[in-house]
Amino acid sequence: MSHRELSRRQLLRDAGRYGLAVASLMGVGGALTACADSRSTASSGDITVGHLFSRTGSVAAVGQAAAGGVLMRIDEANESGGIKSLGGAKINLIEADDQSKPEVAAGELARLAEQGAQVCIGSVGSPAMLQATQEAERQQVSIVNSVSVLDQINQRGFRYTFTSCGNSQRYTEDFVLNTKTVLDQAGYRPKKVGVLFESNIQGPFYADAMRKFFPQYTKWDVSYYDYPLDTNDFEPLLQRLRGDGVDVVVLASYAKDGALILQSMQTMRYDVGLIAGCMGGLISREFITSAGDAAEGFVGESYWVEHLKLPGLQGFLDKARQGQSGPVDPFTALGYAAASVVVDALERAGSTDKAKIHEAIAATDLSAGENGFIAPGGVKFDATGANSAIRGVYYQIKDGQQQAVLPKEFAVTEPTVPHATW
Amino acid sequence: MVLFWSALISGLLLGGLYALLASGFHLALGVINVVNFAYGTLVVSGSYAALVLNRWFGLDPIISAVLLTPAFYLIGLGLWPLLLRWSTHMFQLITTLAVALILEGLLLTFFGPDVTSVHAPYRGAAIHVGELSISVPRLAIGIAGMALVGALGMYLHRTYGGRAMRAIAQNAAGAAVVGVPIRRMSARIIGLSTGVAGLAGALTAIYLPFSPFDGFELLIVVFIVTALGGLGSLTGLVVAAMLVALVESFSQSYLPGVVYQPLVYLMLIAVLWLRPEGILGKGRA
Repeated sequence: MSHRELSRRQLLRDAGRYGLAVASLMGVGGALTACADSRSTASSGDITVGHLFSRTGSVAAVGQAAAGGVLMRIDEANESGGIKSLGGAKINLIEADDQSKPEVAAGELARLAEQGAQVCIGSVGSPAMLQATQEAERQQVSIVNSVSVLDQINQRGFRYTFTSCGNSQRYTEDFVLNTKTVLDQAGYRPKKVGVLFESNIQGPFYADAMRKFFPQYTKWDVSYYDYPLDTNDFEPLLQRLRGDGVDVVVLASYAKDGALILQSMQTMRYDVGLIAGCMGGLISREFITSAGDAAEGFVGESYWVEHLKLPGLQGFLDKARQGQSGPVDPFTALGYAAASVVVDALERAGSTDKAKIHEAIAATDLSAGENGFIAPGGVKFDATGANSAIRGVYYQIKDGQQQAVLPKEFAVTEPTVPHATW
Repeated sequence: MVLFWSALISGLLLGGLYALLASGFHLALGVINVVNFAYGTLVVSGSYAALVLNRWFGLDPIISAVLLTPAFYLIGLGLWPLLLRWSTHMFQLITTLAVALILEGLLLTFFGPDVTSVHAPYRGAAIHVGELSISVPRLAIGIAGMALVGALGMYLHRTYGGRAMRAIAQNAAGAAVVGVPIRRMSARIIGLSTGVAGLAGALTAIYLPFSPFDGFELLIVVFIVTALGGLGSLTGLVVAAMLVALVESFSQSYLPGVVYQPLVYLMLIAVLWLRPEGILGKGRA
């Protein structure tokens, strides 16, 4: 009992008695967590591909969504006869969880390499990807980064790092240009743009990029407002924006913050010309489902949305929609696309040699929809390993779904601007 | 002036929410000295239970809160003999941490990692006075928080059970000598604390989106409020909750966002330095 005196003898006795019980409980907890995603079963095969993703922790929603896409593409490759240039060799997918912690990512990547991964896919947050790619370089194992957009990932001179999605500078630049386009098309001139960004993790990167691109492409009056992660009430901050005359709100937020901001704007009846978003969490399915009807009319930039014109997309959508309700997560598509890069490279390499696989990945050149690469623009790696071909899509949430509105060749609908009154 | 009133109203409403969240944790720590690391995850479990009752049976989160309070009370009663009664203080810390991890794993298994919300039809309801708006659900949660703390205070001071709990807090051996059933009362305290967690979880689900990983974030807020307010004083708890929330809302209104967290921790350090027992703390409840 709590009020007993804790003697040394008792401590040792209790340590024996309870330590075992607690260790068992924690083991059960870990096992439960490990079983959380039933899709993570590995198949036996001849080529080993490692997948480092966030199964648990704060980025788990992104990691698990991407993992679904990776597994789907690897299963497809195995079911359609394996890697033909290797005599139909099957791909064995082994997985590791970085727990959404950068300090765990490098160790887990090393473990995948030790277990024989000839190539890896990474679906983790940007800080973890910085660590994982460093380890991949040390192990000389190629890693295809599926979802992390931080520019630094490809700016450290690493040979073995490839990013199949885009990077944050170009993403933000496209976002600014597309936001200007939709407002110009609607003849709406913002009185003041308010950029609302979380100040603890990735928000400042996007805010800095916007500080560069808004003055470059527009003459708008833009103010910046930061907030700490895990803010439970946005109404005072939104009141401040309203008081400052902000009529276009731009978010650089995670899914939970973003949902709470939109819901607070709805409660306050804070009417604006446009609510736009520019950060990974805002493209996720969890943002749309948790924000509910407050997300209607929200616009944002993504490297994939469910409703866009793209060849070869329907097959993926049919599979992704099986057994799930609600929208398909863009991160599932990006995971699928990254795995497509690996499958394509293995086929061209015709070898399980890590160096040859590396050469094949570096030479990747797939157009959109080709061989399973379902992101707009396709994939071609530049000297830094960044994808120079991929293009962003500007979307608007209509009827609870992300629908492409720009560029014209991908658009499925026209943007509705200004934002409807609450 | 609108900004000032908005910050004040938001701060007071948020303070009510923080008081509601912290009261259960405060009870277990203040009376029987149990630092329940599972408390935040229990609150999140309450939110998920409200989500299930809403999606499967169409129950309103407020009705769910009424149903979940006794259900969580019973869970708490079970936690005491199973995990806490026989263990020393140190192992209670580890045990409750293990419970938190297990619960988090279970929530992740059954609900996945996505942030989610309970979409109550009145979620966006608000009272509008000029440019000011007061969210009706937040007002209700704030009032519920104050009412709950008041009810707990009445229970602790006006009933035999409450007086027995306070006697245990002041001197467990002495309470045992005069016939207070310490084990039964301790189980009841954990039950009450867990019941409050269930209630708080169901009510906050109306307003705050949640995910399985939110337990430890909530625990930090609860810990700060408890440490600031001091043990043994529910009034201190309310004052601390209001203080933290007002600092949060006023710093949002007038200062850069990066200032808020250092400000709260500086306030905590200052209070603990000047008054180690907390703002109105008496040591134990």
